[in-house]
Amino acid sequence: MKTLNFLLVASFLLNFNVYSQQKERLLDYAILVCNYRYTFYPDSNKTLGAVVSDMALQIGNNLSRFAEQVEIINDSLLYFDRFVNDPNLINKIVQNSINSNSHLFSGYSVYKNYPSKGDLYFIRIFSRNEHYCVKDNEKIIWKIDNSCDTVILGYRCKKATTFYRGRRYTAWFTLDIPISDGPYKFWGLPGLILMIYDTQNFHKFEVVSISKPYAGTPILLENVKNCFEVTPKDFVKVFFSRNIEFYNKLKRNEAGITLGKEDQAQLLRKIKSWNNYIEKF
Amino acid sequence: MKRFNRIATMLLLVFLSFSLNATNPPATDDSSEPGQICVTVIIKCGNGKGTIYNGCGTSEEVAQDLRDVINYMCR
Repeated sequence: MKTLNFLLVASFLLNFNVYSQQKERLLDYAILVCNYRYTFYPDSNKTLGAVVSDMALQIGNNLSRFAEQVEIINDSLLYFDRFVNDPNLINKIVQNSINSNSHLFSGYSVYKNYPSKGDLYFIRIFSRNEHYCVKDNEKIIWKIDNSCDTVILGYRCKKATTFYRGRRYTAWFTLDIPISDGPYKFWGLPGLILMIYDTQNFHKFEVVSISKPYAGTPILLENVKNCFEVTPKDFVKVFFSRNIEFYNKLKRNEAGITLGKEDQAQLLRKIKSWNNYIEKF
Repeated sequence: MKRFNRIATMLLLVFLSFSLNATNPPATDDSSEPGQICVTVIIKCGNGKGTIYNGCGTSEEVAQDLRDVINYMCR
């Protein structure tokens, strides 16, 4: 009888544990969603032209997530379908990704006020075994210019400037939305940043819409396992070296895809030219 | 007491069955081992040429592998 009781309790705890692990990924619910257009030049010579990624900032009561719109959608699909491995879901996700304008330069998630208030956490998943996490608590020092203002999307905005990771930025933020947040790792102003760009115009985030999502829109933690914890500087090194590694994998047919000679050469040229990551050290 | 044992055993079976379902999702026809799927995906973009990806794993793992493959091939 005692054994039976023990098994009952153990079984209940196992169920509870599985439920808890999945629930941990649900960090918060979004109360505001800001969509941004991220325009950037992947190569510093601007020879490849500008690239656009559609990004979203999900703001919750306790934390926020900034990521590609398509990743937020795909994460939700995978999360709600997590107990059923469905090949049709994979096809749907692939189609979503192909039809989107996601890019290697913007395939990250930036969490603010996570894991604790005041923390910034950056996650980049390159493949199932290559998860990188960066705890990045460098405070951005802003200079607010009270003499300048403009209107973006109907919101009155003030100007602020900063120097961050090798680039000089101009930001426009609004006190009408008194939330200290913004695209990418930019925050620390008394209002939401609606537009920010560097003086050379290599990287620019501009808001395209702000809306209240339907109740219960989840803010999910990316499904990270055995994350490599690195510094922001080391992450940039990894980012570039990994591009070369990926190419070598392709050559050795270890990437799971096969390419013709011409396509391989084209891909190498493309990878080599991608030298203009947003952070410079 | 016997009645209690019977009810307890039934409850235990229900719990265990749920546990196994939760930890090992049902295999699909395409799977090579329980809880995994094996997929062949043709990534068609840009110039119209298709790139074939083959991989096995959970939906999350396959999706994580495909994410950057698509970015490399299609952007």
